[in-house]
Amino acid sequence: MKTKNVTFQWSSKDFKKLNILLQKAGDKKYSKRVTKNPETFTLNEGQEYVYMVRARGKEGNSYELNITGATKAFSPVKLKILPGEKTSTFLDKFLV
Amino acid sequence: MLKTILTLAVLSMLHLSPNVQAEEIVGALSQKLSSTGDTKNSNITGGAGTTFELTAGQKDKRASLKWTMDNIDSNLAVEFSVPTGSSDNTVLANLDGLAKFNKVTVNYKSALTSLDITKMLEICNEVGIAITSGCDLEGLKAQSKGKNAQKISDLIKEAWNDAPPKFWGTSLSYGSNKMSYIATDSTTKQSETKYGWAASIYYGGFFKSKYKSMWAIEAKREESYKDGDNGIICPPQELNLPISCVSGPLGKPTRNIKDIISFHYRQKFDKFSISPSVNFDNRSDTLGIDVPIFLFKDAGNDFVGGINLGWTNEEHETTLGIFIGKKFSFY
Repeated sequence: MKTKNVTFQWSSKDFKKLNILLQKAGDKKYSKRVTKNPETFTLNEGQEYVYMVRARGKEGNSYELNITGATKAFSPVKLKILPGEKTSTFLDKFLV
Repeated sequence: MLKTILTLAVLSMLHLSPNVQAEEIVGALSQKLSSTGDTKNSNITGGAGTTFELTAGQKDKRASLKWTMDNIDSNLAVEFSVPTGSSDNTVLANLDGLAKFNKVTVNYKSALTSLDITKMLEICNEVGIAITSGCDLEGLKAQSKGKNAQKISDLIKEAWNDAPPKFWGTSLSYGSNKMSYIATDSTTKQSETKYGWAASIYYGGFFKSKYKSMWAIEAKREESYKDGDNGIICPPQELNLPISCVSGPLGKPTRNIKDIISFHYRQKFDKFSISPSVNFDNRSDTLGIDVPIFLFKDAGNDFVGGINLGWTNEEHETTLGIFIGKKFSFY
């Protein structure tokens, strides 16, 4: 099976760390965490993957996440903590 | 500000302060903290962030400050707490032998079940409000109403692992208490600083009706000290002279070891919530039943205060207390 390198890289002046969890679509047993920035995973080509980003902070805190190397991915993800909230939680999928 | 508060709390423990000092610190803390706590003061429950709470019952009063760091499926909490007044030597319904101690507690808990992001994305799509791409849960929550809003709120809780079907945790406490007593061979009060500790491990989970009910079992070893029975000693006096007496715990504090098994349950209703626990000390055969009932909500519609009923088979009486700043939470 062919593989591709997919890189997660995020930037923020508000957050020192983001919680990012990566899974194979439909298979929660395949579960990886982004533990450094940037972090590269070797993923199966043609496979769909899902991921979740969690950030806890103050209103207006923002971050930008770039996913590179995937065939089809929504990137960059630009999010900020909304008024009245303490968290930002984002989920999406991408094809390798 | 947080640093100042923590410093005060730590200093209070390092100096092994008596309750009078603790009350002053609590006053200072109350002034510095404008908001009430946002988690229930329990090792098993509690979310992330910094929280403060006050509890006051017939048998004990405490103030605590808790700081929590969390990850995807686990969190670590450090809590400083001081007693603000405990008058007698009665047994608390939760059987806590460190109730009169200034103490620091470190608690770690972790979910045993992994999140299913694919399923969460499906639910997100069912709600059906497209936001560019992917699913911004808080953004979606702001636009959703009724059942959809509830679905998204539940999804956020799931994403933050607020209600895992199975979880485990462990907790360690260490504390000190300056204990006064009347030595049996004298009529003057003496004091001695005693140290105690507790270690526990727990396992629990949420029932299928998510975010409504939870259970947990806990095994705890605790070593502390308890006061002797209160009494009055009057030295012999010559006839016709006024008698001067001293009162307080008679004899040195005695070591108190407990092996406690507890069963915890939490259930949320629309108008109120309950968080009962049944606690049994295997060494002394003491049974305690503790029933906090959450009655009052804050502006965010979260339960933050209520009354606490307690009962033990040692005293066979029901006690009543109040608490403020405990936000009802499951995990």
